[in-house]
Amino acid sequence: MSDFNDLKILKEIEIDRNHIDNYQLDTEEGTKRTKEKFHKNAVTQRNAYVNKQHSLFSKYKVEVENEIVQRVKAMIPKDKTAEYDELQQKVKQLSRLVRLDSAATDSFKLKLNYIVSAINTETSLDDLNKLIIKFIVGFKDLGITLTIEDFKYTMFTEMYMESFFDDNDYGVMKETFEKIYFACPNIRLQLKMNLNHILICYRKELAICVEQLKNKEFEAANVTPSNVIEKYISYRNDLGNKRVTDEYYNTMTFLKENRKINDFLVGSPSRMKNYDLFAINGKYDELDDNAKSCYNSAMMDFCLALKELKQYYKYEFIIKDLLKRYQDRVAAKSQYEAKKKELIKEEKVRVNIYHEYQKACGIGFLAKKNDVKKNNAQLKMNEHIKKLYTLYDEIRDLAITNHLNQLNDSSSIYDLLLVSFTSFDFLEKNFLNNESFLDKSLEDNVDEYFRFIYSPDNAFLRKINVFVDFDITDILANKYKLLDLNVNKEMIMKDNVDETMNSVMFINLIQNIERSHISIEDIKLIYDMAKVVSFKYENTELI
Amino acid sequence: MEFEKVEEIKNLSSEELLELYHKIVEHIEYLNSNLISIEDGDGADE
Repeated sequence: MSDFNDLKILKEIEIDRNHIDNYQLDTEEGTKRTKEKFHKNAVTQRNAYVNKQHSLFSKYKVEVENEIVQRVKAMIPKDKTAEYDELQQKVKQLSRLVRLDSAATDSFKLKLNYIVSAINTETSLDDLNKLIIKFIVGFKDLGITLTIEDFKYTMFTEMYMESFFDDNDYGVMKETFEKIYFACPNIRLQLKMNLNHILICYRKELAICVEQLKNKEFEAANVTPSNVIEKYISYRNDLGNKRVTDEYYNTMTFLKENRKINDFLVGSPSRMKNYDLFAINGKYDELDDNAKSCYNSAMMDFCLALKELKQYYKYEFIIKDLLKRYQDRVAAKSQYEAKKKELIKEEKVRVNIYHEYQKACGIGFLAKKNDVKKNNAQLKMNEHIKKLYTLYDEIRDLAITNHLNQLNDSSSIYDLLLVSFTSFDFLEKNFLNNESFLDKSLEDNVDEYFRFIYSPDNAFLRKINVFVDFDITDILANKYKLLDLNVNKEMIMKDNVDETMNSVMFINLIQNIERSHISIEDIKLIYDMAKVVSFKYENTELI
Repeated sequence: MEFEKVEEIKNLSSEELLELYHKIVEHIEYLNSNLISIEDGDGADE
């Protein structure tokens, strides 16, 4: 191949410049008028030449641009999103299986608790009916048909649901709701308690459903309860690694200007600043090859630890709550049993009030209609439901504390967090009462929490004994100091972790690119070429 | 465009292609700046 400087187009540029720069535009000879005429003619001729060359070079420019577009198209790495989607589906399937096999209650596993949880004092009539339908359909999908018999928790739930089953028309339901509302202002609460009661009444059937579902899905996925967590973590790890080292995603990060490519080039001040921050001597470039290799390995590990730490901070309030409860776990065991007996007794009282009401309505053997007794039963029921509601609240609160008895002195943070899955109510209260989690639905928050606990990158979560006094920032800072990184406690404290994370993620992106089949320099070239031709990235949305 | 020049372009490395592009753009700017307005007698014709 000929030398770049010998290119015909470059030679033409040289000729053009000589020709134009040396073009004689003026003459010394003749009269003023002759001189002016000469100049005018010379300018006209040179302009004609310049215009001709302009048109020619514009064509060259188009030709080169077309070639650049072809090069960019050829150099942009293949988008493997479809391939990752398949892996993502597998991860989702395994995640479902991990949940099915977890310590969560069956109604939690089947997501029925979320439906009940969505009913509160603010729920509109329309939403209330939709949630009830969802609940009934949820049961139907499991092969259980709920009827009016299941909704006789109180005389009010019965009245409401009779109308619901008879004619689920908004107008009719509104009329029924208004009719009940004056006698029972907390009808929503009673319906909510009724649904919870159904979950208790059908717990055996739900357990069978979960077992059948588990058998079917474990067989389909070709996993067993003993290896499901290991497989889930392995697939998630594999998918995560593929995504972070993906040449297409990393290239698009720069092409879409999410990151500035010039900051990432060797020798750039930003790159040096970030690398120097964690170098034990404050100068990464001055480290020898072996020290650089150790630095890079430690930084990759540190990045995972920081991600884990950030998540730990996010859910620290749950850990604190559980640890506080752990102190009361022994007493909670007997309190829980006593509360259970009390609840059984009070549930019988509720049934008796309901029977009194039926009798006063003239239903049953030798029963006579009696409006006074009927009204009294209704009033008694409203009062009793409040008592039951408090009792259920108390027993659920005791249940999670009682479940902490499963732990022992050597349990890890991970073991502690797993106990939280035994109580939907515990997670519901923690997430719904924390402002930081209100921008997402309860289900999304629980899903994220689940992903945190089962993250493949969790290291200290599984290793640190939760019952020994520990300062996580001390433990991590000391670990990475031993690995010759300049990390101190302050850098990773809750308020500073984001800033440190930015620098770590900067280095991590470089490391991930270096682990892949594309270099920063290649990306820079693609970037520069794409820029000059305003290359359009269709269908290139990053996931 | 002449076949030879097209071939030359196609045979360039991507770095060279980019350099050539910038040289062409620079030359087009040079050409623009060398158009003279006849009324003024000198100076660039914008």
